[in-house]
Amino acid sequence: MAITGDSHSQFHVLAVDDSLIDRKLIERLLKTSSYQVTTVDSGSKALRFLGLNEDDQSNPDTVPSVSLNNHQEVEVNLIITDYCMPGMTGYDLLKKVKESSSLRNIPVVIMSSENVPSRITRCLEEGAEEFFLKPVRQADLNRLKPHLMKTKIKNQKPEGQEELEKSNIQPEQPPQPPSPHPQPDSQPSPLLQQQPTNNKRKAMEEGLSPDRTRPRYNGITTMV
Amino acid sequence: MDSVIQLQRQLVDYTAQLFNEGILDDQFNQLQQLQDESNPDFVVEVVTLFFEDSERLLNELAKALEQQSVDYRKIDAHVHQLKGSSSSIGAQRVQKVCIAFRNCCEDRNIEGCQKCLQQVKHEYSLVKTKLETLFKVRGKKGKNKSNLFRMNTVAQATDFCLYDRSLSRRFWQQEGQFLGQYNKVKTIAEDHSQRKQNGILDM
Repeated sequence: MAITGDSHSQFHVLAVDDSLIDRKLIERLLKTSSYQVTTVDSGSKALRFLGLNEDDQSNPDTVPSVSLNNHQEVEVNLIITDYCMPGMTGYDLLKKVKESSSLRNIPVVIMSSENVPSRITRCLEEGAEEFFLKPVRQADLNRLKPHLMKTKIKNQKPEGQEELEKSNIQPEQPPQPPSPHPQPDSQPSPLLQQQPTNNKRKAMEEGLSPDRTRPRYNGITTMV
Repeated sequence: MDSVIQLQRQLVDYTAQLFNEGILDDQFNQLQQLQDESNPDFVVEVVTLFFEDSERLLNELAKALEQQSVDYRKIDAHVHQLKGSSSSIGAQRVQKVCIAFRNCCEDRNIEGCQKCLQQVKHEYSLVKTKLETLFKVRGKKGKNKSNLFRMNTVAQATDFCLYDRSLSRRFWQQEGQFLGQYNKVKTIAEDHSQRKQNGILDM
């Protein structure tokens, strides 16, 4: 819950990975960036932490009462999850989050040790904001800021938006002429609906950005 | 103290060589950058987890390859884990062998898998010994595990010696020189602090 309109308020990240070493690493990386971190070792534990039972569908009658109670106490601004996990994969977790009416606003980032273009595309199409190749580095996490700022915007009154937009969002998102809707980030509700297409486009564009030191979306650019 | 400076120089060379030989890659540097005053033992903690995890996986792999009916999927899963953790700490050569290992699994090539297991055990021994020496000389806060590490190092070194004699000879020469210097400095330092304690101020 955004307690104040302050853009420097704490961000809480939920990190999901079955590897203890990788959990320790991601936790340290996130804490270095001054994020609050919770780590869990499975997708099902992640859903439980988020206040969602695995069997919950986006049922408007039952979900709000369950999630609202938990949502007040546990606010998560971003979920970062490993792809390859036993049981529920990162992709499965992503799907569940995006299918949940209470959780789908939370940006999700996928990490994987394998550079599989079809996997990357599938995740981005399902609504993942970013796809990081492991081992994840500080430079990767620096790209999370705009996604986290977006959730803060949604929780804030319209007056606060313009400032944040100017200072944080604009530099990160290059102007998108082919976009059918003008400046989708300026209003909270259109953002919800347009998020999937924006992410895909942004990801593709960022795949070509010069500051990328390691090839990440190579496969996607050739597949297009 | 001359000896300390010499040791410091040797430490720099020793570390540089690890990178030159591809035993460690830049990810290890990333780990070191994450260490600070608030988390002074971070690298040692992560690397220790890697040692524990790897030893467990290597045991599982040996067992799995001994079975009458080899479960390649299980082996592949273990190797995938080992590949991931070695990549996360920067143990590049271990990671590379894991990639080859997974290919052998895919081909259901039992001999290839057995060979890969030997190779990965060797590369793991190597990186473990190197890191233990590094930690010993650089010093690590917390529990003093140097005795335990020394024993493990000897056991591991034996494995290593059996693998390739010429390599091991050179390795031990190097290790010997480096550790010899470390012991020399340690003795001087201990002597110095002893004198200080006894009230004989030694400038």
